[in-house]
Amino acid sequence: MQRRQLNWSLLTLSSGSLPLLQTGCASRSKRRGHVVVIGGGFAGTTCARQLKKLDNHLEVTLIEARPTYTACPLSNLVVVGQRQLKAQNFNYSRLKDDEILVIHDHVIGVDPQKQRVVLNNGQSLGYDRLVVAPGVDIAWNQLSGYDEKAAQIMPHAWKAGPQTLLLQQQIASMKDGGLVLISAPENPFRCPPGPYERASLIAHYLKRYKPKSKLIILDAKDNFSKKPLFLEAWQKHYGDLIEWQGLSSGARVTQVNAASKEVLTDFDTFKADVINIVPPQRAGKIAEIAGCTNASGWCPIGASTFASQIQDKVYVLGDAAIANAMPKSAFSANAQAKLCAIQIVRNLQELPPINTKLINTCYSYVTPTQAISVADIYTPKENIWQPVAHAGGISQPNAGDLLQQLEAKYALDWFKVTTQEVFG
Amino acid sequence: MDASSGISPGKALIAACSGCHHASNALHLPSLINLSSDVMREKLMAYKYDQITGTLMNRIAKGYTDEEIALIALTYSMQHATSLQNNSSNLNR
Repeated sequence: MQRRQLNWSLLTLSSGSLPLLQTGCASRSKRRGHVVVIGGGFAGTTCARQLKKLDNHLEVTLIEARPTYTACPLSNLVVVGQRQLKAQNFNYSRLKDDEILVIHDHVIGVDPQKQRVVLNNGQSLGYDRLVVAPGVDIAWNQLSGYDEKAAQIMPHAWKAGPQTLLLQQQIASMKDGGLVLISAPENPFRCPPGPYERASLIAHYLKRYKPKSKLIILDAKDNFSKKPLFLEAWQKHYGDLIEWQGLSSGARVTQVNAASKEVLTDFDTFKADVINIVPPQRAGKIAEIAGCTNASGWCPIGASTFASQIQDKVYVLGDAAIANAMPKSAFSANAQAKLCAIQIVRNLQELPPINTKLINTCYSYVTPTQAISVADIYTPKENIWQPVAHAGGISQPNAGDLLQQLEAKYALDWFKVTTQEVFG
Repeated sequence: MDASSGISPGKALIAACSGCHHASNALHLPSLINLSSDVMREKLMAYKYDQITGTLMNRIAKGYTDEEIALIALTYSMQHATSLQNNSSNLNR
């Protein structure tokens, strides 16, 4: 069965890509199957490379539309001019050394019955197993008035790149005494502590360069990641420069008007100089094309394996997956991908999946030189990723400057180590 | 590499660790590559039972049973031995 699928993929690839594919393969008799990975972020790239490391007789293809990946972690430092955007950029050259076929194109169709993926250029390739790791898409207009045009005036900066620079420019050119507004969405969304880290770093910038200014966070939730530590840091470093308003105070943003630079909440209307909308999100479009999403817009998976609960022989990783208690973070994506690669190799060898634990660790800067962390261990209990009790949690409150400076150094190291593992 | 070598329960258990503890270019995060199984197990147990204090390793170690910690330490030390073997066989080739 697997052999037949594989022959299909060779037959129907356009002649232009055949030589690449052949150089990337072990001899046909040793080939154990073809895994196609869609999405070259932390999840997909990790998975592709781990698959090849675990079994170099596997044929692995990574499909990613863009030749350069711009990483989100640390990009809040870019927003306040503490880091260059180009330091966030990575490419896929090392994957070619790993004999992974990298195709830069858009996927326009997936046929889970025939186990085929169709690319924008007309190519079609067969798979034995498919990994879908598209990250998030902005759910345009789910927040009334927030569309792609509005995002040019009220940037989301929730995908690192031009949006990050747009927000940076707006903050840099704002007058002293201006108001910065951040709208934080309901769960789930990518990088749960991200809006609050961003608020911290913007406040640090304002305090230093535009001290008469103010920052208001309008939140669709009453609780958020690392809340006690953020509140403590805001009080300590920024006094009343940051004002956080939660759901209970009617602060949920219900509508935006980009032309008038106005934001409407349940009870109020805000006009601000810089408006950063962290918008509602859903799984990347490919997940929907592959038929892996449910009504929530995200992808249900089997916890241990990351196998789609909807499509056979398809796995979903990273931000797009419903990994229950595991947050949508680069660390989670990377960890999930390493485990999923093991499960796929075992599955192709008709071995049962391994039930094991995973970790998420996530650092947030509260100043450019101080950070806090959350770490949790997760176990797939009753097919749901659940945190292990009496373990994990956030950094010690009132940890003091030295420990927070150390955590800031670890945050940077984590980024170096993980991006080295993923892209290096 | 033999296809079965990378897919043991021990390997699955340490999958997340290399997100922080991996490359030698880290300036502050310790590399685990040269730790013996015994030293690593003792260190993780010390974090778990708060005999030493880290920034977040105490929180992480508490998520594992003593048996899992022993398996993590053993798998890491074996991985080290395997990578040495692979390196020397590459050199001999």
